[in-house]
Amino acid sequence: MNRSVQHAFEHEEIMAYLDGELEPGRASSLAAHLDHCAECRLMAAGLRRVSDQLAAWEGGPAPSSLSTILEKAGREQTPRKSSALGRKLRRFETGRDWLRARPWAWGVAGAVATALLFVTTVSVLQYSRDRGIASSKTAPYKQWLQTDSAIPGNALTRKKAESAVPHAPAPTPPITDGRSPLKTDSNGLLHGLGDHAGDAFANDGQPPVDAGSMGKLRASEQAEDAAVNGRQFLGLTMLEPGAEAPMVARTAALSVVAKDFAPVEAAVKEITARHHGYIGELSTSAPKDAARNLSATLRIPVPQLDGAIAELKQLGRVEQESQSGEEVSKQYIDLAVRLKNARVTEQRLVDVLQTKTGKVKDILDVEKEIARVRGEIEQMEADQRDLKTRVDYATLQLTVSEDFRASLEVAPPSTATRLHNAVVQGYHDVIESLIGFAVWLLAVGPALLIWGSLLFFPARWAWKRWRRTAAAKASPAGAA
Amino acid sequence: MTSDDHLILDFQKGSREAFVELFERYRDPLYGFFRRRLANPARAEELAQECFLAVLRNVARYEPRAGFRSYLYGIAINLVSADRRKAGREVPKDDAAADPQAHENRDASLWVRDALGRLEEKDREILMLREYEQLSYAEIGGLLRLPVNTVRSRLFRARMALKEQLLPARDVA
Repeated sequence: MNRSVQHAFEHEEIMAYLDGELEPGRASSLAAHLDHCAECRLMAAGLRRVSDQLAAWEGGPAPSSLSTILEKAGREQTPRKSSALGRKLRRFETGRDWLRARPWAWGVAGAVATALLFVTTVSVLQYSRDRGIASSKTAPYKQWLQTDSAIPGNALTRKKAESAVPHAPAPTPPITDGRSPLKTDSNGLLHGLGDHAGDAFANDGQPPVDAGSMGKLRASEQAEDAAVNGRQFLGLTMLEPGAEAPMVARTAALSVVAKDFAPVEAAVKEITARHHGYIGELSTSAPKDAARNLSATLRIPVPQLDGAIAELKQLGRVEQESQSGEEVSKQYIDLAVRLKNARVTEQRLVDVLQTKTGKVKDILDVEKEIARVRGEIEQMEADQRDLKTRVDYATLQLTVSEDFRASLEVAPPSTATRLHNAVVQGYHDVIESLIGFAVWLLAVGPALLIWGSLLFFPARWAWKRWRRTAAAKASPAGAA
Repeated sequence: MTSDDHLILDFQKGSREAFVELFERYRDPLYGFFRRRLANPARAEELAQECFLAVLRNVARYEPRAGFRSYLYGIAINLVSADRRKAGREVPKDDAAADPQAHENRDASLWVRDALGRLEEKDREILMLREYEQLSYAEIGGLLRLPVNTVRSRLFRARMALKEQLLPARDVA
């Protein structure tokens, strides 16, 4: 059908006008147009005739038996009056119907709920773990603080106590029996196996005690006996009988950024010496075009620690600082007990050696055992000294970084070198990506192939079936 | 005259007379709806009853969003779809449709039925809802989940196709 160019109205609009579905302004314009346009009037007439002919097909009146529905209406429960609860119920039912019509929404809701539960559980567990770790870390430090406040000048006091109860009695003339170069002290305890004979009794740096300190020696034995009971330990009982003073090994960490890095090393050494400490380890690094770093492990007497830290902080801006304490009382007591037992064992072996007369083999066996016990004793004594040192001297991990300012290079690195490096890097990247793809393909390929083969035919069958179903739907299935 | 929405709201509040009024208004149109879509008159009556029963039992959940008429015919369309799915897709063809010589001797309703049967299912449904149930383009679009412009264009297409079949050669422009 050809339409002349002056028509401003589509045929669809004519139909909408006849159906009363055209906007009022447009409808009035079309009505005016129909008065002048025969073609459009013809179209409108044709559409009306279609409607008239369609109306010829009547469905017919409803049978009277349909009215039985009214009896059922009487028997059915009276509908509830609208109420707030009723409206809520309707909204709930609407929502339920919505979900029923969209089964996928259940899957989405389930996935979201599972994800929320997982995140919540992980967060709770993480929070509980962090609280546990924090409390376990602070406990020994808090104990140490309490110890310090309870016994002012703890370490110094311990040092004085230890000097009053020396570990090393005055050397006595060696007692030899011609069989082995053994030395016994005034307690009858053996020394000398594995020792340097000359300084066997001065091995902890403590000043030797003269022969007139026998009473203090007896006191040391009594202190060791008390240590066996686990209530008191050597070096601390003399001042605070009945009070438990835990031994705490302190550690600290300090990280500083210094603007002027040059004098840092000398300053660290000077501060350490001034506070009667010593440097366990020190290293510096000075990479090109980067900040210089100094890393040191300092051993500072505990009473001097705070002062040393305060002075070290003056080197620059403090980035990080921490302190902690580890209680080593149990380890010390345990060592003392084991040491005492080992010494008793050694003495018994010496008695056996001196009194027993027997075969050479037996004598050699006893001497071997004595040597073993002596070795254990010396190891334990060394461990004990180490523990004491850890308690008396705090360990401070110091890190000093330079506040680096990059220098402006007027002449940048060679462009040709950079391009060359870029080309080489690019080539390597290409090779790596190809190899990576080949590796991936070899790893995933066989599985993809097998599953693809297994699923191909079922998928093809399902697709064809769906196509047939869609085609059947599209074909006209006329109403009866 | 009280509107359909007022009547259904009155029925929600417990007025049986409101339901009777609605029933009287829609008894014939609803039966005609089913009768035009189903071959069996008894089945059409059954579905019409089911439709009214559905309104009766779910009146508490009714909310006046798209109007009672759309609500009622929405239920009716769902019932027809369910019935067709149950009965299968094989719709018995009318023997007269295959015989062009018989066209001149047929009753007009059979002519119309024949012509409608040749349309696409969706176009046919749109045309019937417009011509017989007198639903607006918006109501039809809401029921069939189509945009209004799509309803308009498909309705026009269906009418043009019918025009060719029902008025052959006489009104070609």
